Amino acid sequence: MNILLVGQPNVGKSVVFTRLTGVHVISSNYPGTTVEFTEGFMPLGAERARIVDVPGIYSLGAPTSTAEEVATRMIAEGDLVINVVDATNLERNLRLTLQLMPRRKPMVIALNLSDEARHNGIDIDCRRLEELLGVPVVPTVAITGEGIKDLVGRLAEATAPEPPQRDEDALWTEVGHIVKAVQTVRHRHHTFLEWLGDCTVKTTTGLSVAAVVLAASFFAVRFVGEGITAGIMEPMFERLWKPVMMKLSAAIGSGGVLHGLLIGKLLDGQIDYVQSFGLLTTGLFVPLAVVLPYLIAFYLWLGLLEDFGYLPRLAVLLDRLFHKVGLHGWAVVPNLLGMGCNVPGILATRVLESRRERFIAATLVSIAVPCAALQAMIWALVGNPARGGGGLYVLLVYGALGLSWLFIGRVLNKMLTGKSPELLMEIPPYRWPLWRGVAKKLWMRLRGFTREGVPLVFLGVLFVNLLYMTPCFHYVGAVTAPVTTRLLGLPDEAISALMVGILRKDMAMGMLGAMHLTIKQLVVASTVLAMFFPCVATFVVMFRELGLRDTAKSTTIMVVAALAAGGILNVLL
Amino acid sequence: MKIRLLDLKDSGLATVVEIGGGHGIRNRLLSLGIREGVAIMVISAARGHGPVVLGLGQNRVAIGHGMAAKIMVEAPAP
Repeated sequence: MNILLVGQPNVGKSVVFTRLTGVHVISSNYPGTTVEFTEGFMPLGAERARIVDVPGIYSLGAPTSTAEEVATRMIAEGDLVINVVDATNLERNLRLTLQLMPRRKPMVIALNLSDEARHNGIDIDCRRLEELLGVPVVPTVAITGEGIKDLVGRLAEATAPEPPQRDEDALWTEVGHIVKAVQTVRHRHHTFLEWLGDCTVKTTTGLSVAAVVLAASFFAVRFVGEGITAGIMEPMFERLWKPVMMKLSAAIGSGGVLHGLLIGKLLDGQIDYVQSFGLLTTGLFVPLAVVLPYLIAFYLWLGLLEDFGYLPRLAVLLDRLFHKVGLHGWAVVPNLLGMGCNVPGILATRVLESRRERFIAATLVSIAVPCAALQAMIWALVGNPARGGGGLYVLLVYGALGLSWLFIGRVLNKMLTGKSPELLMEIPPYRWPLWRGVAKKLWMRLRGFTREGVPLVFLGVLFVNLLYMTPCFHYVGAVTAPVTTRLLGLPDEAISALMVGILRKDMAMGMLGAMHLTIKQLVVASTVLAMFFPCVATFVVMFRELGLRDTAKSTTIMVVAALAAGGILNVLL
Repeated sequence: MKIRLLDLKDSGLATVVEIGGGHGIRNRLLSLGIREGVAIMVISAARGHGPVVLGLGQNRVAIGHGMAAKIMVEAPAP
C-alpha cells in the first residue's frame, strides 16, 4: 500500500513522516524544505505500508515549481492520502483539501500544529469538520508525537467521498462555510515572537537586525569551529595519535611505498599533519580536525536559524539584491545551504519557479559559494599568520568570490532571455527551536559528510600519492604551465591541486598548503580553486538538475570566470 | 476609498477589491489566500521596488512589487 503525505508547504509533513516511519528527514521552519520525495515504511496491520513524504503544494492547479510538478505527479500513484493540514491556517489549507477530493483517493486529515492553534486562540471543532468533509480528522502535534497513534489507528477508516463539481468561486464559498462552522477565534494580544517576527521583516528595523544576525553567524561559526579544532581535535591528534603514527613510521621504515601511502613525507623526522600527506596523517587530520569542527559549527547555527524561522525574513530583506542577478529573495536558501555543501544548495534551487532562475542560481552556487569544507581549509591556510596570512587575506578571497557572484549574476541576467518571476511566499511565524530537532538535523548532515565526504578524502589522498609516483602531474604541469605560471602566477605543480579539486576541494587546499606558496599565491590559488570546477558530487547533481547542455554551459562559465578572477587577482596583488 | 495597495501606509488596514494581471498571477496569489474580499494589513511597505509584506489575520505573506502594483484595495478614508 502506498500512503502519501500531502499538504501545503511548511505544515509539518516531514515531521509526521519521521513520526510514522522512524526515518529522519530534514525539516525546517520554512516552506519548501522538502524538494525531493522521501519514502519509508511502517507496519500497518499485517502489511508493510510505504509512506511517501511529498513536497508541499499550495494548490492542485498549474504547478509553479519543480517541487510542485513532482508532487502533482505523485498524487496519481497513491492508494491513500494523509492530508496534513495546518490548524493555524485552516482556510487556506482547506482549499487544497477540497481540491484533492475529486481525485477520489481514500483520505484522512491530520490537523497538525493543533497546539499552536490553541495557543493562538483558535478552536477547531474536529467532529464537526469530520462530518462536513466526510473523512476522518485527527488533531496532531507531530513535533511532540501527540495524536500520531490516533492517526495511524484511523487510517483504516479513510474514505473517498464524492464531491460535487465546483469552480474556483464555489470552492472558496464552500471553504468559507466550513471554516465558519468549525472554527472560533478568541481575541488575544500579540505575543513577543509575533512582534519580533514583524520587526525583523520591516525594512526600517529588519536590515540592521539582519546585519547583526549575519555578523553574529560569522563569529559564532568561527568561534565554535576554532574552539573545537584548537581545544579538542589538535591536542588529540598531537598527543594521542602522533606517537602511534611515529611508532608505525619507525616500524615500516621511511622511504618505502607503503610508508609514503600511509604516513607520507616526514619533515625533519617528524609528521606534519598538513604537509606529510599520508592516508593516516593528513588524510585523517584534514577531514576530522579541520573540516568537521567547522561543519559542526556551521550546521548547528544554520539549523537554529532555520527552525526559528529567520530565513524567509532574510529572503524578503535581500529580495532587491537578488533581483540584480535575476533571482528573487527566496534564492537565499540555495545560496545559504550551498555554504554548507553545494549539493543540497543546488537541490534547493527546485524551490525556484523558472528554468532560467534555476540555471542562474545553480551556476552562482557552484561558482561563487564556497562549501564549508573549503572554507575551513581557506581559514586554516590563508588565515594562518604562520604563513603570512590573516583575516584580511581571507576577507580578500571572500570579497573576490562575492564580487564574482554579483558580476556573473548580472551578466547572466542580461544575457539570458526571459524575465524572472517575482517573490511570492508565506512567512511562517517564529517558533522556538527544539534542541532535539536541531541536534537530530545536525547529526544527519554530519553523517552525510562522514559517509560520503570522508571516503572521498581518503580516495583523494590515495590518488594523489599514486599519481605522484608517475610522471603524470609533471606532464600536465608542463602543458598547463603557461596558464598556471603566467596568468595566475602559481608554480607548475599547482595544477595538480586544481585537478584534485575535482574530487574534493578541501583536499586540494591541503595540497596547496604543502606547496610552500606565498600568501599572495595562496589567495589566488584558493579563489581559483573555489570557482574553477565543481567537485564531482556537485557536478553529478548539476547534471541531474540542469541536463547536459546547461551543465556544459555552466561549466564553461566557471572555467572562464575562475581564470579571469585569478588573473585579475594576480595582477592586482 | 479605492486605492492602490502600494499607496497604503505601513500598518494600514484595507480590503482587497480587485486583482489585475494575468491568470497565473491571480492563481498564485489565490493559493496564498489573497483574493477579493479579504481583509489585509500592510506590515512592511515597499521602498523603491522592494517586496511588500502583508498580514492576513495572523499569517504573513510577502509579495513582489509588481504583483502588489496590480492589487487595488478599499481603505477607510483618512
